[in-house]
Amino acid sequence: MKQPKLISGNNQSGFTIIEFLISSVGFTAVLLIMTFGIIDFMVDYYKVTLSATVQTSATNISTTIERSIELSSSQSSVEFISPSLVTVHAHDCPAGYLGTPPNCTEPGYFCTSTEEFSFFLGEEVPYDSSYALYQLPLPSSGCTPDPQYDSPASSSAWTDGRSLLGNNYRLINFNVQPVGSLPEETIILKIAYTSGGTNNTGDDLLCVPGQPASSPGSCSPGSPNLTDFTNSSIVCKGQKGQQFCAVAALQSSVGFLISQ
Amino acid sequence: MQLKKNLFTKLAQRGDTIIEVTIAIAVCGLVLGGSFYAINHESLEIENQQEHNQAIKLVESQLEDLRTYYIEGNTVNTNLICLYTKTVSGTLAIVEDTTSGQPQGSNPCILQGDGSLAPAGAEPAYSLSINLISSGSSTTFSASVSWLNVYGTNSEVSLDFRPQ
Repeated sequence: MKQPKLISGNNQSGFTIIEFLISSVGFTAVLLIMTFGIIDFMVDYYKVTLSATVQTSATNISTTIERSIELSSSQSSVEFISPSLVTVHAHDCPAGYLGTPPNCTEPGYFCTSTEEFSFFLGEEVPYDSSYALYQLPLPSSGCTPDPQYDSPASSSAWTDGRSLLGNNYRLINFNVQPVGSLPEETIILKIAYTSGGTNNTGDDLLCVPGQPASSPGSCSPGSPNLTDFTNSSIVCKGQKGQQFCAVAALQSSVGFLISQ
Repeated sequence: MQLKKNLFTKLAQRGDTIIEVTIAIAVCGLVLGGSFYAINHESLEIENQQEHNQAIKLVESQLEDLRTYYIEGNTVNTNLICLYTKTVSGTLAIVEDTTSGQPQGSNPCILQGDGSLAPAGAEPAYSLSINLISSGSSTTFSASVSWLNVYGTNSEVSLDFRPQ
């Protein structure tokens, strides 16, 4: 039998260290390009899906409020009270108020003839407040903050209604205004979702365009974090981690369906 | 027998040829390229759907304005392009726009998805229009919104309103 001496001899020659190093460098470069490519398009995909989710949340909230207004018995039953800043000289803000003394904020509320919407502007769920926008049946006392729902810390006591914004959401801007004396209301709504970073709040991901570079909330890289999350011009900062931030704004009109 | 076994063992240790490696890289490239295409397409489709939702919201608001405006006894101008809300003397009012041809940025009928005036060059910019379709004694309004979508083609959403 013929021995396979020549064939096996050639195949066992192997690579030199130079060949091995060159191929390793080439292979590493290809792997790095592939890895960064995959990360890049996954970031884009996550950003788009988050943006769509936040947009859907804003649309759902707007639709919920529109239905409630449409079915209100009269225009006079629709009442919008902005959150009020109360100066309190105490160690803690009273139950139902958010903030740090002396600046404590009472929730704003908005009522139709059957429902009440209690809200805090700029507070992130659940880190700053247990709710940002809460829908509940109109209290028997009328359009006044129901003490039970007035306290963001007492969410476990809530027996009725539902929170319209989930974890990591903030209500940036919310207003319901009558259109002159016409039987119509205009709803202005802006919400933001941020996560990641310190305490998972994503506070560093939001900014206000046009602010000086060194001021808090500037959109310039490395600027201090935003402190006032009720500015209606808030946008997502174009920086690392931007895929964990999305802002959605809506303005819609709704007329009363029931004859006045 | 022993010689045969040695031959197979040595052949099995011969490693991959450059052709095999090239084919393997090409297959990986195809899989990754396909995934990239699919994800990119999916992202565009999500954005497209998002734009559609915004357009529907805008056209619904337009119809609500029109319904309120009409039932309050206002005569709708036949040259009407769109209706919009504007603060007049401290209160909101519905205003008719009958001037066409204003550029984006100053045209109240070209809006952003959030319902605010679209700045010049902003995309997507939604163009609102209301058409009066009269047929005998019945009057129907058609409100539509058109915009340049993510694929670079025109999209349109339209809803009709017939006053009782």
